[in-house]
Amino acid sequence: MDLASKLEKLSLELVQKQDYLYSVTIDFERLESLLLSFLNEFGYITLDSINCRDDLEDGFFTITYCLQTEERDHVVMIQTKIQRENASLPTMHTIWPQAEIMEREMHEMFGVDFPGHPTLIDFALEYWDNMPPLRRDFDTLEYVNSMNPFREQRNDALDAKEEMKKKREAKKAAKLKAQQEAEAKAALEAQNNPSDEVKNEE
Amino acid sequence: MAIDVKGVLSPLSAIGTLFEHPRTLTYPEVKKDIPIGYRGFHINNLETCVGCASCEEICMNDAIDMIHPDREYNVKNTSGCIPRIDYGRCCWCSLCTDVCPPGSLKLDNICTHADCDPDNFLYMPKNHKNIGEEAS
Amino acid sequence: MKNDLKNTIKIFHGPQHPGITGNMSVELDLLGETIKRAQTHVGYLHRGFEKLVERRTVVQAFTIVCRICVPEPDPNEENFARAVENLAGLEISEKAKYIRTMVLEMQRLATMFLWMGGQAGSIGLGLIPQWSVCDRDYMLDLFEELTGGRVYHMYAFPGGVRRDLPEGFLDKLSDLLDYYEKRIIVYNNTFFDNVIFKKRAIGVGVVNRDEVLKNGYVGQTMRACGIQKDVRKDMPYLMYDKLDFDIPIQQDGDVYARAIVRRDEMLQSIRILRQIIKQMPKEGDILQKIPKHRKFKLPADDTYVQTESARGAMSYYMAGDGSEKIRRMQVRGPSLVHAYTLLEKLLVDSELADVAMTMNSLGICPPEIER
Repeated sequence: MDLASKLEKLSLELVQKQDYLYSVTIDFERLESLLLSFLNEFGYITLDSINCRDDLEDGFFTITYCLQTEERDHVVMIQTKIQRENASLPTMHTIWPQAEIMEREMHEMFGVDFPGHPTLIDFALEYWDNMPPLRRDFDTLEYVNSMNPFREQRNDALDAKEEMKKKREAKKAAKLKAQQEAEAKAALEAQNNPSDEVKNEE
Repeated sequence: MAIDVKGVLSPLSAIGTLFEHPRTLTYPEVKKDIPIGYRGFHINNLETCVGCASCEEICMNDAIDMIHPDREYNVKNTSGCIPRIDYGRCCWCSLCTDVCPPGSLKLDNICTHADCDPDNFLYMPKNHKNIGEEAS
Repeated sequence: MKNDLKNTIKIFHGPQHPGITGNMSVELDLLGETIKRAQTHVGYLHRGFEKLVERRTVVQAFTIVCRICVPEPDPNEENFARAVENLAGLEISEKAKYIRTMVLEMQRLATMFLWMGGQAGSIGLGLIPQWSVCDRDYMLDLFEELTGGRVYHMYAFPGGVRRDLPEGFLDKLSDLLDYYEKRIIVYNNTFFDNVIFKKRAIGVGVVNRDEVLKNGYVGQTMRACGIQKDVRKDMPYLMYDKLDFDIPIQQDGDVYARAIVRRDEMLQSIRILRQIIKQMPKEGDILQKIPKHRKFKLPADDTYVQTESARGAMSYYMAGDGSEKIRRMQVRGPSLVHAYTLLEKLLVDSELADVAMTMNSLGICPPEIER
């Protein structure tokens, strides 16, 4: 592919992921210049989307810019990693107008800052004062439980595993009891006819 | 500006539909046929239900509770429990019926339930062996 | 600009307004009847799907993706299923591919009928919505038979489809297509050729052709400007490379051109469905065997899939992390850019009465903007 050789000059590797999907990984410092050269030199004029993924364990966000050419016959993902703490990205809204809304959304959902962005206002969550909700350390279950009570009528629900255990134990106990009873019966019978035992011993 | 004769006259063909038979059904008298495999309310064959709680585990909405039935239906029921479904949360995705190992939990094509008490949306699946008997 | 806004009246068009395409609102600054500034607001329908998916296993997450867009849930299911298949390396059988293609095209027709209702209703032609919603219902009846649900099908499962075709289904579909072909002639007479619609729609909401590709406008908005691009042709998925169809285009880029493109696409959908009915394999697996839901693990990788929905390219970014849960799923529907970048610009200097019509013709669906 033509693009691969062009990227090789920039010492970058083009990885084919699927039939129509390629990816390039780049460090944060060179991101803006690479995006510009994709737009101006390589002909990738459409910014399809900006995706953000929270890699909580490693402490960074993985940002993916999906670009398409005029032909729209394949997608190139440009991926970079930024620090989770005080995350910040260069804004692209002057180059691609649609980046404005995508960045606004990412700002709200992940708390990524975009210096120079004109409208970093609320997107979908008005008056939200908690942590940005799509960060993976935001626990939705805990939040929902703190906001809404669970329906009380469902408190009689049983834990099926416990019930299975209980039933198994009850069965075992019943079996044991039956065994004991049988043994006791046998012993009782033996007491009643001691002569047999004596005979056996002899 | 020239008058668009076709554009003025052709919409008048809609008048012809006045003489067509209406497409709607006169509901209470004529009811729509609900096809086989419609995802309606749950039914459960209690005589084969083994109480494994697979349905409770796969339900993403936490809509299913395992509770004790009024009497023992199936001796082989490992936990002695049967599912009860909160229809305030159920989304009729039918994952619970796909995953049911004995295939006792199913979706029926009945889909009407009206009540003024929200607690009555805790729905006990009907015992579908009985439903079959009623139908026959 | 500031002087312009001095004597304006500010009104909210929506979220509870018959002329809005769902739960969103457009804040308008009006000078008389003319709009001087428009600003889109969403947030009335935020359900947090992307977060919910992170808490569920793959099999559990599959049932909620179809709820992302109400008028057309199937492209979402298809995207989700294909993204999971890409990540997990699943191959689906030919029959499953054909059935999925069929469902997507059926959904396209159903969505177009609903769109026609909205488009005609937004300019006061009250008869067309009644007809087209009725016609859409016949398609929903078929969906009910095939998948068990009318609107949310939950049918395209990772690894195939969940149910086989019922007996005699293809014949019923074929009959319905005959009916639809007749109906489209009726709609032509009453709606597309209607002088009322032409007078209202021609020259309104003209999209600048130079902006289209760069700003990422998709679907009919793009094709009505004379750009012949369609994901089904450019990046064929499922069986689209084996099917014969055209991509209709128009040159004007206004509301009327988009309507004509949509009408032609309906005819193309019917053509595709007829081919599928002919080519549908009789035998074949429909569902690949996949691991149990706690053991279905996605590798630590990411993918990006695109499907042509009835309103344009719909994309999903999906990443796994080696566990049974999806690390990240991001939805990029056509509406996000259309409702903000495009609509805010298009509405300036247009009339208040054209807002609903313009929104409808861009195919804006708020549930997929905020998810």
